[in-house]
Amino acid sequence: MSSPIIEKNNQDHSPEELTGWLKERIAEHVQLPAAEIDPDVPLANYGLDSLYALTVVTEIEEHLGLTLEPTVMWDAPTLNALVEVIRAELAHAA
Amino acid sequence: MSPLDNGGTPHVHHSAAGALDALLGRPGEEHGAFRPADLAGLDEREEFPAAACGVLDAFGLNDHYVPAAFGGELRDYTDLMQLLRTVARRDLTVAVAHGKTFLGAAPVWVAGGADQAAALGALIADGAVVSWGLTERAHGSDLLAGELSATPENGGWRLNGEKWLINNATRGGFICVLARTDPAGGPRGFSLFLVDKRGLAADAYSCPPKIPTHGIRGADISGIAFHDALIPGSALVGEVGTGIETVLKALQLTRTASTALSLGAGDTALRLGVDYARNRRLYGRTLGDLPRVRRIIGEVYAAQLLAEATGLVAARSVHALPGEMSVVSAVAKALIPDLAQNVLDRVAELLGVRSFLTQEYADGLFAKLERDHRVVAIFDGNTAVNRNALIDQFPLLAAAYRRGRCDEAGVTAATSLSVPSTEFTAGGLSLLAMRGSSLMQSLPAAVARIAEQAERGLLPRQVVVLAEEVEAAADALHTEFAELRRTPQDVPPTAFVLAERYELCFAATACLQLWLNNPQPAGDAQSPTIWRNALWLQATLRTALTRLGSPLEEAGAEAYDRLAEHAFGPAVPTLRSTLDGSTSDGFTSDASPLDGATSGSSTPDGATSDRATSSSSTSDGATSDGSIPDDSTTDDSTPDGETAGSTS
Repeated sequence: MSSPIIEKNNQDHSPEELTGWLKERIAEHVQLPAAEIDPDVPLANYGLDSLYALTVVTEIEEHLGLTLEPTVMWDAPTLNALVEVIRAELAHAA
Repeated sequence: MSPLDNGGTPHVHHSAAGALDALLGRPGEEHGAFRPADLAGLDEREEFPAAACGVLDAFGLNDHYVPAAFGGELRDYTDLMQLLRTVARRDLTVAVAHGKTFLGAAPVWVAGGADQAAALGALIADGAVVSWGLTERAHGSDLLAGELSATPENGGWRLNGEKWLINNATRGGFICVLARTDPAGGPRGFSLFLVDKRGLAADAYSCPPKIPTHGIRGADISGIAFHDALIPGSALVGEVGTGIETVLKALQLTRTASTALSLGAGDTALRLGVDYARNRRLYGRTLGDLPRVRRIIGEVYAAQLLAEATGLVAARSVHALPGEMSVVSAVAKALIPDLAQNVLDRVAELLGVRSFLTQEYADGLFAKLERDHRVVAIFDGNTAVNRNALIDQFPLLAAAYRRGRCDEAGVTAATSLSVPSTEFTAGGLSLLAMRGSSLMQSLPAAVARIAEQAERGLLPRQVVVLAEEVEAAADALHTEFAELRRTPQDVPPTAFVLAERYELCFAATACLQLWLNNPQPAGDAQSPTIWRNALWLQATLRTALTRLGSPLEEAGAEAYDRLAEHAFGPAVPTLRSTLDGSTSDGFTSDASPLDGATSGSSTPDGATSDRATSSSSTSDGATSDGSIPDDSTTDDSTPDGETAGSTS
């Protein structure tokens, strides 16, 4: 599949861009406007079930080509913490 | 192990399960501790089957709950499955009561330290009973809501709270307990502890009374409450905060092993149905002579073979595809109890009023089996829980299928039954099947190989039609996965229907790969096996497709009738027993003088007696290509031939 998403794989991802993308994904899952998601509040507080949250790593993999531990969202339970992990992994992979 | 001689035959057994089967005895000649009437009596009085469990202890079954790396005999999860299935055929209460030790210990095998695991292995080999405390009175299977707490104190931990509806909580000397270690909870807020009850002060715990249940009435289904119980730091299993993760991984192993309970139940139901059809006489004929009854027996047998195929592939996947067990175990634990329940329900219809009799017919064996299986089906995670685990993974299953990702070596290893499994390492388990299911994703390639075999005359054309129907169903299903709208809070009911369809496509693919990756012991014209003409494959594919709602031509249904012929032999063959070339794993039926039920008109594969058998009729099996007798020359006149293959 060739989509703009895949083409972005090798580009730099600014923290703002990553946060914006993840916020939209999560907002869609929990059916809230993206603006209502505070990046420092645990995502579980918005109703993102712990087991369901595991599958968000598959979206991260599809979007960034980055394979993370399924439990990454357990150890990084807020949006900001997750972005930090992803950036560290991207830097490591580069 | 120390096999107790029950006066049985002094065979050398291929497997531990074969040895156990011989020890426990054939129907009508059971080991003294396994007589159905006595077990029914214990059940009626809600008494624990201690003598039967003692026989299993003496046999050394406990050794098979302990991985070889920790001093035990567990090298292949298929062997564990076959052992538990062998017990479950006799009595589900005994199987649940004894097998629970594997469940209780599994978290330690997954996440415990090497010393901790070896020490537990030695205790289990010595007869220790280990229980597993997950559920609580107020929270059921919602593990993250658990309130039982562990608080650090002087290098150890203080436990408070109760686990409830716990198998062997009272009898067990040990219990693996999931405890909240962070008051805030969350997926990192729980830890696992292996509690040695002998080390607790007498007032540090109490067990509520046994809870009466509809089935497995003799089992110790109870609970345990801790009252400021102090346990040493060494009781912690894995790191603090990894309890949920460890439980979810251990469940992948225990749910797979637990399907043995349903396989054993299905084996026995099928045997009782066959015996009844064979022995019940009406108007000078046996019930088994009636075409309608033979069709039912064939359908029931096919459902049981489909369940067995799924179970065997799931157990081997523990070794071959450990990273995919979050999908495989959920498929197996949802589908196999469902198929077994269907087997029980159909046999109940056949037996009619006898199915309800608690003493007057076959010592009430069927009535007890029916009650017991209803409980067993929800043991270690019910169908809805497992379907939910699949639903959570739909997006990645859809993506992986679209991309055709496949660990081909893993699929071959998972489906080559006679090749020894590689050593299992828990580090390979994952909470998500990041690459989807290689088996499912191998379906298009498997269908192509099946078509190629048919081209070469090695397979009836009808099988290709069925295989292509499976592929069409899987294609449509994965498209629907991608289109499904769901949120964490809102799982639409249609998602559960899709999960069930996934299970059936998976099971059908397991059958195709088992056919492709095993030598096919076709037998000869006089004593064909269920492999001849791919008979079992036709019947299982048809069963899966029927449940999937695929349109099928009616003529092909006679595969069930031909399959039924095999059920009326001295033992009902299983996939495993036909490959072993032994009947020790096939469940022996009480061959009676009325045995002549194989109505003389045809041989069991429906072949005419002058059928050519040149290509592959040696009893030790054909090539892995799966040569079959050259039906191609007579296809037009055989039910499995081209004419039946012309369906849409």
